[in-house]
Amino acid sequence: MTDRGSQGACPFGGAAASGILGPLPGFRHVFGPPAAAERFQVDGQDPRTSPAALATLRRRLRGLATLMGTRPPGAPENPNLPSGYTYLAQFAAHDMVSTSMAFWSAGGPDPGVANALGAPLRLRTLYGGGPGACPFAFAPDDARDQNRSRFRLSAFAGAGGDAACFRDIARAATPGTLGNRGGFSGTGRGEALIADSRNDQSLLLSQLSTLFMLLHNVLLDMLPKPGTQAARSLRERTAARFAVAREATTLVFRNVLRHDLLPRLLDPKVRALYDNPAPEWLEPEPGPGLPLEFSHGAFRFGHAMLRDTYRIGRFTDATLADLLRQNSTRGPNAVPLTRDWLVRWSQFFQLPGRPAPNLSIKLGPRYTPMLMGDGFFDPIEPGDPAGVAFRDLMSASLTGMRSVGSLWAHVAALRPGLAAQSPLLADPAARQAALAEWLGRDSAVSLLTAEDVAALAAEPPLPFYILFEAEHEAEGERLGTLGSLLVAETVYGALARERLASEGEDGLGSALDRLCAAWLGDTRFPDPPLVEDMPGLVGYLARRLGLEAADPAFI
Amino acid sequence: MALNPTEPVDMTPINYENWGKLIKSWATGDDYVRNGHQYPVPKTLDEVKRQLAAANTGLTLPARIQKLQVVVGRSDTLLLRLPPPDLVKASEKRLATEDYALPAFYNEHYDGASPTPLPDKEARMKFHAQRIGDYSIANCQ
Repeated sequence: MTDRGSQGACPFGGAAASGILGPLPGFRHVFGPPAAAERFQVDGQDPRTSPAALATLRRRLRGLATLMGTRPPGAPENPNLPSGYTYLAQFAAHDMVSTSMAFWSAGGPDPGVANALGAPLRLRTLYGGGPGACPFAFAPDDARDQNRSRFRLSAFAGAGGDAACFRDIARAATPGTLGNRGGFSGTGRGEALIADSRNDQSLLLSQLSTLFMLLHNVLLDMLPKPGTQAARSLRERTAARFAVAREATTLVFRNVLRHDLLPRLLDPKVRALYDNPAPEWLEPEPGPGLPLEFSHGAFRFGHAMLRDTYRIGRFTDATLADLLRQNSTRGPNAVPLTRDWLVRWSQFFQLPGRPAPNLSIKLGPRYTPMLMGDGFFDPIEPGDPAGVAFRDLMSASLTGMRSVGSLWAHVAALRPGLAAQSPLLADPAARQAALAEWLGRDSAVSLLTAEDVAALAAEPPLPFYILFEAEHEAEGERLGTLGSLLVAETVYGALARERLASEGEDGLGSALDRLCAAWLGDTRFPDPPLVEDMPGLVGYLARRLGLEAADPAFI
Repeated sequence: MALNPTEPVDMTPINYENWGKLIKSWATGDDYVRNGHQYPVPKTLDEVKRQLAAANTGLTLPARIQKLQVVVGRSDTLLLRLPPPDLVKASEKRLATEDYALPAFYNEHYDGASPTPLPDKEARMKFHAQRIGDYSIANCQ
């Protein structure tokens, strides 16, 4: 039974075609705009237009989030996914979507939710609009500051200033400015000088961003400097050098996604449909924008991979909460990172001859309770659970995205062979029974009634279902069938349809050659970054920067 | 199960605010958590565990906890809530070589500043005594 909501009409924007009911620039739906009955609903009603349905949704999701948000200690680790891939996936997500306003907070008459990021997987999350639009992220090329080409980096706290000490993202104090952290003359480095502030959400993410910044700087240093030239030719040469370093860095990033991250994440049968010269698309000609079913549904799985504690730098049991406080926002006086916190990359990726890294937690519908920590992800409204689970579920439910049932129906029609191999896709009754068993296991904590459990089992929020499917079909080591399809269709689609100018079918080395030829004539990288995976990237940087035996350790 | 006196810090709430609201609910009978659950003073450890989860405290009880004792304070009574002697000794032993770990939420009241590391064992023992003195008599004010 649907709860009685507050009186009034549509809770999100009033009349149709405004608020989150209206156009959502930069987003789309997989399989095209859904009909009303194909969208996620609550007892047959759309929670975006019905206050009663919204109230019911909130009550049920409070219960579901409480079940999901309190993963008990000792959860099994995933040998398929070292912990570094958790953050690589988050970094990739930031390079595909930047939601202007969270759906769960998008009340009011016309919140204008949009995906502010354009072409995906071009490292806009790292470069932003480049040195012209984001000068703070780049260091001046010379004392006159005519051009900026290198990423700005901070030395770790207490470092002597040698080239190898710049291992943190750039951070600045802003004394004398309005709202300076610590008062008018406070010296806390409360500003991260990066194009996308989300990449400073946790220490691991800022350190991973630093890896790609270091790669850009290394590649730039391999290209001949422009020297003393007339202003016009200096500018052209500088721009060409920057463009080559940027596109080469982006090529490496995309190569790592294709050859390292995706094979680890995806069901092998699904991957085989896409990772070939003639991919079998579910949507051969999709419209523009990123599917909401991906951005706010399937690709939320990474939150379940987070560990409670990590071996990191000098620490053997740093909590995730500790990592979330090592940034400019929450810890302006704790940054730049001290030498003890700098990441040793063998702790996060499997490097040859090194001890086993931190492993991510197996995929399943449970998040680390660390995300409930004080001040991280506060309740949306009084009585809501703290943490990420409730936010993920609420946002997914308020996008108007396709229901799991609608997605099942399309997949079964388009990929009957795959659907038949998936026990959850092939047998709806068994699927609902399995979901109901999980949802009904602790009603004293969730306060979900039998009716709530049945409703959620029949119409599960997509982020929850994707994790349930991964655990049920793949023992949590990778995504299940539907999750793999949504991720593969979107990510391989972006890689195939949003190609860089230099990209072809003949591999990274050829692409780097074409890139240099297009901008620099006969000039080539003397030591090209022929990197296929994250261990390869770490090894390449360690060698180029002389960090193999660095103190503090880099690998 | 044998007690392991070296594990005094394995009972840490992840969300101190929610844990504090739960304590206030138990102490006053008012519902500070306000999420649809009832929070009576628990009579069993199982009931404690259920309420800890329902209130989203992120606090799980370690295996060494086998019994429950609830003491209700009164403003006209000096309640000497003495910490377990084995845990006092265990923390003294730990502080001989490691720094004192304050809950991280304190940092946010000091604009993100991490606590200054205590320089030596003597300083850590002094702070240990001050902390025990504080939380043993502050009566949650």
